Amino acid sequence: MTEDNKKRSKELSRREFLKDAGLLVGGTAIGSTVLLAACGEAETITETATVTSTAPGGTTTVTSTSTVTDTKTLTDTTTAIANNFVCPFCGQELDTLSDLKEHVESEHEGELPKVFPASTGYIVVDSTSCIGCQTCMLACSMVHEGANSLALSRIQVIKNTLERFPNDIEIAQCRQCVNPLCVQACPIGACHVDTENGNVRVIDEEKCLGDICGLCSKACPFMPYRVKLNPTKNVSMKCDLCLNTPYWGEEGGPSGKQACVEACPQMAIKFTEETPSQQGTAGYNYKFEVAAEQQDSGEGGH
Amino acid sequence: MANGGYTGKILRVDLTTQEISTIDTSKYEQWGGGNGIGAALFWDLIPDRTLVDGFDPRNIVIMMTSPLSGTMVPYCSARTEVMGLAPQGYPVNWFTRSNFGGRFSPQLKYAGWDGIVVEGESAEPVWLKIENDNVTIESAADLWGLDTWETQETIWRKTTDYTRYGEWLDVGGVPSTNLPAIVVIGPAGENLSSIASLIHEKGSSAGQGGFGGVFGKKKLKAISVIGDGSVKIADPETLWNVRQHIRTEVNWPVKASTPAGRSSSCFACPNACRFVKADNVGNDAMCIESLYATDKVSYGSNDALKIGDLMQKYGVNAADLFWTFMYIHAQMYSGGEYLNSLYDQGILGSGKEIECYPLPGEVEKWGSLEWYDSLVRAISYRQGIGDDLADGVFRAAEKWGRLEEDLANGNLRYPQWGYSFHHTLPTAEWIYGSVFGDRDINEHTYFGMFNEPLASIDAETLVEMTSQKTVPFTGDPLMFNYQWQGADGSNMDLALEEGIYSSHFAKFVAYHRRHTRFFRQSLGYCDFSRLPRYLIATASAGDNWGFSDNAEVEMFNAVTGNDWTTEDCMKVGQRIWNLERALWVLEGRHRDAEVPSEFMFKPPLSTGINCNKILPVKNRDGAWIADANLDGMFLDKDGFEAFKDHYYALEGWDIATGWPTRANLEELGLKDAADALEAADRLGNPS
Repeated sequence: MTEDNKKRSKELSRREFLKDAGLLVGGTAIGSTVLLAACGEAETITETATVTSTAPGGTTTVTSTSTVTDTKTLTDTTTAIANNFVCPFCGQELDTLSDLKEHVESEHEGELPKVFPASTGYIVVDSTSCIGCQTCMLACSMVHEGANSLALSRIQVIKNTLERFPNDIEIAQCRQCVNPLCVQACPIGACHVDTENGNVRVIDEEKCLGDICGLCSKACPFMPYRVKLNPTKNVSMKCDLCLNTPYWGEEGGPSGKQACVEACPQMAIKFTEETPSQQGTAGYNYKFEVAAEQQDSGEGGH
Repeated sequence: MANGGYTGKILRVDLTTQEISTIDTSKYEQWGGGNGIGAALFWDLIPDRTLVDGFDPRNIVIMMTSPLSGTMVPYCSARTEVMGLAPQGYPVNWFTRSNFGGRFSPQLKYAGWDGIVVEGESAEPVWLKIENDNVTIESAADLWGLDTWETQETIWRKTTDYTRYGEWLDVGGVPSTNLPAIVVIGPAGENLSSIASLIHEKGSSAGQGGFGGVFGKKKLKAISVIGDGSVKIADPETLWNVRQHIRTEVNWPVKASTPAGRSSSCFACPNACRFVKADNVGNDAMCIESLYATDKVSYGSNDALKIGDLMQKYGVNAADLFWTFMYIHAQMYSGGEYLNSLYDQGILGSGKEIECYPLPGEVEKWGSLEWYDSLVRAISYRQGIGDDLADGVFRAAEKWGRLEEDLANGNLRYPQWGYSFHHTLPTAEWIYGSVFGDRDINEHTYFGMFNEPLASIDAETLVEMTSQKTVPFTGDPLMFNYQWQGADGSNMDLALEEGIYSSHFAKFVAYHRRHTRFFRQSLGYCDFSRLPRYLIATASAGDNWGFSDNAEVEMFNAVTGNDWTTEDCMKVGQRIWNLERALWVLEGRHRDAEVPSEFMFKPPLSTGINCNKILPVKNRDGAWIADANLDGMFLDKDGFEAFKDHYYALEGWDIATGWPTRANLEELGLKDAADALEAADRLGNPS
C-alpha cells in the first residue's frame, strides 16, 4: 500500500464513521484529486519529497509524505476493518455490525446490563463566564492522552469570534445522562456504567470497535454529540470525569478531581454530586458568582 | 532533537510556480521557534541579502509557530510570528518581525505544520487552504475586494460544507467543533499599502511592518488552516504542575461577564485582555485600536470603538494610523493631549497646501466617525490624500517635503525607521532597542517590573533583587538606573557614569534584547503577559517573591523534553539578535544611521504616551528613589553616542561601525554570517 493510499483509506474510514453517524453533509472525498507526479527537491533544506499535481478547476493539490506517525495507527486500523466484528463474549466472527448486534442480543442476553444507576458526579458549566481560551480542552487531552489537542478533547468549547455575545462561545460537556443512551447503544458493552467508580459512564478502549461502529456517537441526543472518535487510537472517547488519566499526577474520577475544572481560569466549569435536571440544558448550566476579592484587579493590559 | 512541541515540518509554498514542499524543522530547533527559526530560514532562503524591497517578488513571508503553540502553556500558546522584508521600514525595508494572537498558530500545529514560508507571486488572487496534510492553492477571485471579516465568513462557508454551526463540522474530512483559523488581508493590503496589516478573526492582527501589503503584492488574500492532530508533550505532569503553580502565584482574577458582554482570550491564555460585546462593536479590540478619541468622539465610546473596527475590517495598521491622525488632525490621546496637527496649522485641508480630498471640506465634520470612515477608506483604496498616506504617514511627510522639519519639531512623532513613537521614553531601553533594531520594539512588560513593585518595595531593594535574576548580566543594580541629564543638563555626569548613557545601562539593553528575542518573539510569551513573573516582585511575596525564576524555561523543557538552562535560552536570544544584526548590516546598517529623530533630543512638546511610569533612579547623594517624574526625559546627543560605544563593545561589535566582528559571530556559532559580512566588506574590526 502506498503512503497515499494508506492516508486516503484512513480519511475515508473516518468519513465512513461520520456517515454512519448521519452527520456528513456533503463534499468530495479528500485524496481523490491527488495525482502522482513526484518531483524530488534537490535543495538542501528540503528533505521531504512531495507529490504535486494540478487538479481540475486549476487548484493545486499536494500531499506531503511525512505522515509516519499517523500511518502506523492507520495500518492497524485498516487491518482491523476486515475482521473485527468479533463477539467479545464467545469469540464468534460476524460479517457486519448489525449481525454482531443481533448475535449479542440473541445469544448473550444476560451479559449486557439492563439497569443503569445514575452517576455520582456531573460537570456543569457557565458558558457566559467562559473566555474561550479552550484550556479545558487542552487539559482534557493532556491528562488522558499525553498531548495537547482539540481533537482529543472530550469537552468542547465551540467558538465563533465573529459572533456577538453570548452566541460567540458555548461549552458542550458530557452530561453523564441518568438515562445513558450511548451506553444502551453500544452493542458489546464497551461503553458502560462503571459501577465500581461512582457509576461514571466510560468506554473500555480494549473492547471498543472504533470507527467501524460509532453507534454511541449516533445515540447521543446532543449536538455536537459528546462521544466522539479518538482519531489517534481509533476508539470512541467520552468524558470519564478523569477516572482514567495516565498522564496526570492527580487523583481523578467522580470522587477525585477533574482536569477541566482545575484548569479553567474562570471557574466556568464545576463538578457537582447533585444530579442535574435532565430536562433541557438548564440543569447543566450554572451562573458563576464572582466574589469581590476575585474580581479583575487589572492583571490584563499594560 | 526535541521529543515534543514541534510537528517536524514547515510548509513551503511558491506562489509563482504553485509548487508546495516541506522543510524539515529539526535543523532549526536550535533557534527555539518563532522569530529565531524565521530569521534562520530567511537567512537560508534569501541568498541575496542586499534585497531591501518588501514588494520585490523575491521577498518571502515567513509565519512561524513556537514549540509551545497549541499547548496549554499560559500567555504563550496563541502567537504567530510573521517575518520578511517589511515595506513600512525606512529608509529601506529592513528584515522585520511582527506577530498576532488568536488561534491560528495552534491550528497550524494541529494540522501538522511548525510554520509556513510563502515565496513568489501569484498572477491571480489566491488563498491557501490547509487541512492537515492537504494543502491547496485556491482561487480568490470571489474574495478579492471583501473586507477581512467577510472574507473569513466566506471561507468558513466554503470549507465547512455549510454545516450548521454547533454540529461537528466536517472540514475536509476533519470532524471539528472549531472553525478553521484564517489570516487575511483587507482592501488596504490588496492595494499595496505599506501600513496594511494581517487580520485574524475580529481583531488579532500583525500590524507593524505592513505585511498585509506583502500578501497583497503576492496576490495572497488569505490562509485558512484546520487540523485534527496533536502537540506532543514530553513531560505532561511537569507542564501541569508549573502551569497550576503559576495560577496559584498570580491568583488569576475571574472576569465576570455582564449582559453587555464578556472578557475574551486568545488560545490557552488566562489573561482575557479583550472583550466580546452583545452589540458586536469593538469586539476583540485591544490597546491602540480602542484608544481613538477626538473632540467629537469620546474615548471609550462606541463610536471610538467603531473607528478601531474600521482598521480591522479594512486591514490597516491601527498603531500607525493613530499617529497619522495625530499628525494631520487633532487626534487626542486618552489623557486629552493634542499635537500641533497639519490641519490646525492651516497646512492641510480643502484648498490648502496639502489637499485633503476626499475628506469632507467642512471643518465641523473633522474628527467625527464619518470623517474617520472616509479617511480609512481613502487610505485603503488609495484615493486622493489616502494615496500618500497608504505608504505610511512617514513617507507621506517625506513626499510633502515636511519630513525634516516635522521630525525636528516633533509634530511627526517617528523616532526611528518609519515607526511611530510609543513608550519610547522615559523607558530608555525602549528607544535603544528600537534604534539598534528594525522597528518600534513594542515590548511593554519590562517597565512593569519597576512600575508595579515600586508601589510597595523600596527602590534600592528592588534593583538589588532584580539584578540577581537577569542572567547573564547579574549583580549590577546600576543597570536599572534611569538617571538622565535632567532638563537643565546638570546631571549629565551621573547619566554618563552610571545612568542611561553608561556601560551599566548597556547591560540592561543587552539583557532586554536577548530576553525578548527568545522568550517573547521565539517562544511566543505574549508581551501583555506578566511573564517573566520573577521580575515582578510584590511585597506580600516576601523572600519568595515572584514565582520560580525559570517557569518559562521549565515549561519549554516540559513540552520539548529539552534540558535548557535560563542561560542557554538567553544565549539563543543573543544568537538571534546577532543574526538579525548581520542581516541589517548587509541591508545597509551603519553606526552613523543609528540616531533617533531630532525631536528626541529636545524637551517633549507633550508627553505622548507615558502610562505614569515609575522608575528607579540613583541620586547624586547615592540614594535610590522611585522616580515618578521622568516624563520630561529627552536624550542628549553626546550621551547617546557614548552609549553606543558601551553597547557595541558589550555586544562585541565594532565601535566605529556597529558591525558584528568575526570573533563575536563565531562565538555564537554564526560563521556563515561572518563569512557573508566579510564577502560584502562589512565585517566589523575587533576593538
